[in-house]
Amino acid sequence: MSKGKTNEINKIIEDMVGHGEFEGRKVYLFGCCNPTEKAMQVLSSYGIMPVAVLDNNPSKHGMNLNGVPVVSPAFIMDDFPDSSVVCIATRFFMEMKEQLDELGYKGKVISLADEDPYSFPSMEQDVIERKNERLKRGEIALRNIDGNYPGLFRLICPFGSLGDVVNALSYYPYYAKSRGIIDTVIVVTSDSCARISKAYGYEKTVVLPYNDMSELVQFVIWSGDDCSFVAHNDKPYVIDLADILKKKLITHEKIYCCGVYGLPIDTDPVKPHYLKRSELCEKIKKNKGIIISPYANSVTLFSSDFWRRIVNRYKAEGFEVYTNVSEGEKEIEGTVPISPDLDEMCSVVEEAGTFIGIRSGLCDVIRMADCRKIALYPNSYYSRFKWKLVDVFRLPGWENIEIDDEKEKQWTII
Amino acid sequence: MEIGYDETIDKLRGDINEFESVIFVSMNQAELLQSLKSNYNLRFGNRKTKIVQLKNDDEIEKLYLTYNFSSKVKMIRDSLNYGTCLNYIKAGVITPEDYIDIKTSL
Repeated sequence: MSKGKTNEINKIIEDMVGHGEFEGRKVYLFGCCNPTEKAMQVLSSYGIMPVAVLDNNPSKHGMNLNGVPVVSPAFIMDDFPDSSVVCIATRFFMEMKEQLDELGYKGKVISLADEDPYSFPSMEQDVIERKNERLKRGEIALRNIDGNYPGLFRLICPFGSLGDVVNALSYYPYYAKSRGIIDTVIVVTSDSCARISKAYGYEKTVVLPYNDMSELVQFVIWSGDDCSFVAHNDKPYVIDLADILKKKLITHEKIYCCGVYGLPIDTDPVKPHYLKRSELCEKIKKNKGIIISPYANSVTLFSSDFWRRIVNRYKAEGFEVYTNVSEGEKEIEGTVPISPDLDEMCSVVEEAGTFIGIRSGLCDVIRMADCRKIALYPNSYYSRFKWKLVDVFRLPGWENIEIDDEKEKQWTII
Repeated sequence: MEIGYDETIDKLRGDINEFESVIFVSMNQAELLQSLKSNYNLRFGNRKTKIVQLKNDDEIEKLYLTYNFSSKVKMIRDSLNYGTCLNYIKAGVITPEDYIDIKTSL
């Protein structure tokens, strides 16, 4: 989940708390997935503990999401349905609301996600009118890019996650070759993503804010523009490549390889060749350093105690431990904070010899680094599917480890 | 440049109200269309499902490409602008039968 979306959920909940929307009501969330998890964290910061998470997937019933039970949506009808509120943080708001209506639920249903008109599944006239306006703006965005980079093919990466951009660029050269594309401009949503694009050797990169990007994608798909390709795997657009997970387990990376580009599953990803060596390398304890990365936007974080235990264990073995931090993040006690640029990160972890991090887009950025690499996964399911995060996001050549409650309390890596 | 196919939109609204699923199949996916139709009863049972072959330049296709207007509507088509699940068949990851299961499951 992007930082923008996270901020959006924060803002909506803050406003609702300010207007007393939760007072005297039991709170439920619908959909056992990452945005729901984020919403739970924000709600708990206001002292609001949801009663349960409603979910349609029977394989998730009985499990806990951060200590909150996951139950069938029908559960709510037995539990004070009129004095409760259901919060929906996913983009399937309309479908979920319809389902609650069909159950006979009469309580409040609130969307915690901005109702992006693209993904708003409605055929009401006002929605269609808004979509028409977006199409017009999307066409202008396309013409602007074409004006700045005339005749270049456009690879559009609409999702702000670093991992998606890495996957999109790792397999794009095969696609470009098959279509005879010589020169490409990459369109992304953030400066970080643009830096990744440059690491893959694409100097021509356009950064668009999320909404402009969404309008551009809408226009490209609608118009069938033959000089643009949208490298994306899932909704809110009509793209439904993640649906394969209903039938079969395939990793996120291979969804890009096989689904986005139609390449054979054994196709090797292309390495980023334009990485830099960080000046930090001179200060890192060579092959006796541990780079830890405890922060991520899209998954539940592990406790400070968990990280401190790991730090203490390695320091006792004579290692120096460094925490990779961004603005506003605090290093784990007893470690040295470092903030290398994304295109320098590989050199830093290779110098240190070991990387241990919560599974985030950063892991994709350094996935081919030549060192010991350990990715840690929360004990959660991926989105609306029956597969665990560790199944879908595992990285080849890495130690992929799921951290359950027991491990979080006791475990240290050896 | 506008979504303004009033008749098409009205017809689709009617279909969405009447059917549990509406599946559109593009002209170049004749084999998948045949497979869908031949196993209709086995696959859909009592689920009221409408299967429609798209015509060239079908307004519904254009409408679908504009946005996700209903989870009840599925489109079986390829695209030059983005990857579709048909790519998984091409990549050898799934069979055409798997593909239909994915597209027709709720």
